[in-house]
Amino acid sequence: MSALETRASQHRLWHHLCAVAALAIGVGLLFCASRALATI
Amino acid sequence: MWIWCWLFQGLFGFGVASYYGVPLLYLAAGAALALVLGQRVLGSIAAGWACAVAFIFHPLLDSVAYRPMPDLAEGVLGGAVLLAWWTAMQAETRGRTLLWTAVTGLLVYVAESNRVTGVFITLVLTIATVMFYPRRFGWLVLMGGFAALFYGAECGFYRWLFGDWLHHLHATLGAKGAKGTDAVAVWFIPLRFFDTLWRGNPLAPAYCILAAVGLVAMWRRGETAGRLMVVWFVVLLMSYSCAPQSLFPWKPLIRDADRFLCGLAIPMSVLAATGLTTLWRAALARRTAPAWSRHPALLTACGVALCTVVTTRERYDPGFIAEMRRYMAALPDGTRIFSHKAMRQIAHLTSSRDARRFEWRAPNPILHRDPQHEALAAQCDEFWYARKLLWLTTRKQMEKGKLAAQPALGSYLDAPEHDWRLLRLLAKGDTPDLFFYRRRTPESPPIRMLAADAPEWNSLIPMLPRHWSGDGGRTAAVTSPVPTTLRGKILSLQLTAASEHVEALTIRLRFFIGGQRTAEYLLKPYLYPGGGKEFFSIPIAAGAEQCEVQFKLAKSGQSVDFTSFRAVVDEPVP
Repeated sequence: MSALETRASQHRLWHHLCAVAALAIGVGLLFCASRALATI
Repeated sequence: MWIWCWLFQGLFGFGVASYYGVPLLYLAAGAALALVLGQRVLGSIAAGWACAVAFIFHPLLDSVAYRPMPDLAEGVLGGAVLLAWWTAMQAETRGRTLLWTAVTGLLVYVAESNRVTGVFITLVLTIATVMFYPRRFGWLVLMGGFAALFYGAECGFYRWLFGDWLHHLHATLGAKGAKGTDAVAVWFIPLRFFDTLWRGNPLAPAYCILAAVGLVAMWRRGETAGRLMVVWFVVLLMSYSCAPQSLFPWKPLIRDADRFLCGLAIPMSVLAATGLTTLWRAALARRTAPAWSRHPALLTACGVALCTVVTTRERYDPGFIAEMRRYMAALPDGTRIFSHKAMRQIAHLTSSRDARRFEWRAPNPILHRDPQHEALAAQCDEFWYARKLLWLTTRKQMEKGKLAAQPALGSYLDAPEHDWRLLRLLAKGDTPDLFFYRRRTPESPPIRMLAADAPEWNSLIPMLPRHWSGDGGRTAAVTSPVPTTLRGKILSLQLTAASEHVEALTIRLRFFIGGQRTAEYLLKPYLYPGGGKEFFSIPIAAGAEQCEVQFKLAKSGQSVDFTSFRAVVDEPVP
């Protein structure tokens, strides 16, 4: 794999990482149960 | 974990963002790690996405995905440790190996510092190095050296702060003999968490079956990456199951609770995704894949939708927050509030802006009588408490058998009606937990007390004292009409009782309107062998017609001695 291809591949991976992090935060917010405030 | 709370407080101010931000951050980081590991192990970004989605919905995260707990952090830090170690082991230059060796050492230290069980990942690294990279064992030793360096710095900090090099270990030495760490049969030790993995939620059996399929497939494939995931999962599961806190008799270090297994979430997600792809390929062995299956984004969306529908993780629910904010917003500046530390923290999380308008007198703990606390309470306009957290330390002492009889309660709990009116109570699930009292004034309605033989009870309360051992069954239930004079009121119940078991009894109250159940409350009294007073409050809906009261003993063979009962009726604020 050339340096250019490696960089493009890493760039794509960053896009996927950002997207998966956004999905995790979205799902996390969907299941934020406020009763938890009284459990810690 | 706490550093993120602290940083979020700096960024967003005190409030719920600093609380929910931590699990959201770790959920995002864990999903990213699962994606990278999945891609490396299974060789495609689509498989990485399957691993990430499997991680986000993993049943082990159900109880920690919405609150800052060290369990989720441990799982994510463990994943970061493994990825850093793996990168170091595969690095081609000495400089890069040294860099990733230092990063691994730092992450191992952070994982241990987050919670002591974070150190189990070192056993995974050791076995994996011996199995897959034996010639690089020296680098593993150097990783240990870096971790020891950071650990030593922390010890030095504790020495400076508390005069004790090992403060972080000594501070937790008292946490022995907790619930769920009872001695079990030796043959059962490695299996003790299988049940937890299987029963988490309706998705859990699928995760277990797919992970088992993936585990066999990975091992048979014979590649280092796949076998590394197997070693990670198996060694960590055995560490969680078998690590002892005492050898004679053998007692486990980790008690029976799903959240302590969060370190397994990433490797189990990768194994489950492997199992899914293995079964999928087997199903398509003699056919061509359908057109829709060639769209990874569509498959991911379907996976997310399916998991969202099937999981029993609690959906977003503002719960008591809106009502508590309204109550706080209605209070004038400078309101003096007598409370305890944890309730003050809940108030700040709920509405930091309002909480800062008040004058707090919130020492800790306030359950038992103390002249200083009585004096503080006497200065205040309001008295608030969170029942579960008010009892927390005392309940733990009771469970360890350190309190045979109840010390005198603070007057504000023993007979709150003398000085206070209960204006509002908020439930956490089916348990009334947050209580808001206001000082009585000459204009307040007169105190309304109901003794055990009051006509309102319709002979619901038996003659006291009474010994109940559940001879006729562990459950006893009685249904009675709700007197019109109690409808729309807050009923505070005081019960004097004794039992050899702290949580021997639960009381469930169900209210009905027109035959339909409208409200249900679960009361869990904490009982002393030598007896003590317990106090609960429940709101009664204005239209409540019938009430079913169910008493249940936790286990057969347990018993409760009831001595006295009384109730106070309060008018809630509109």
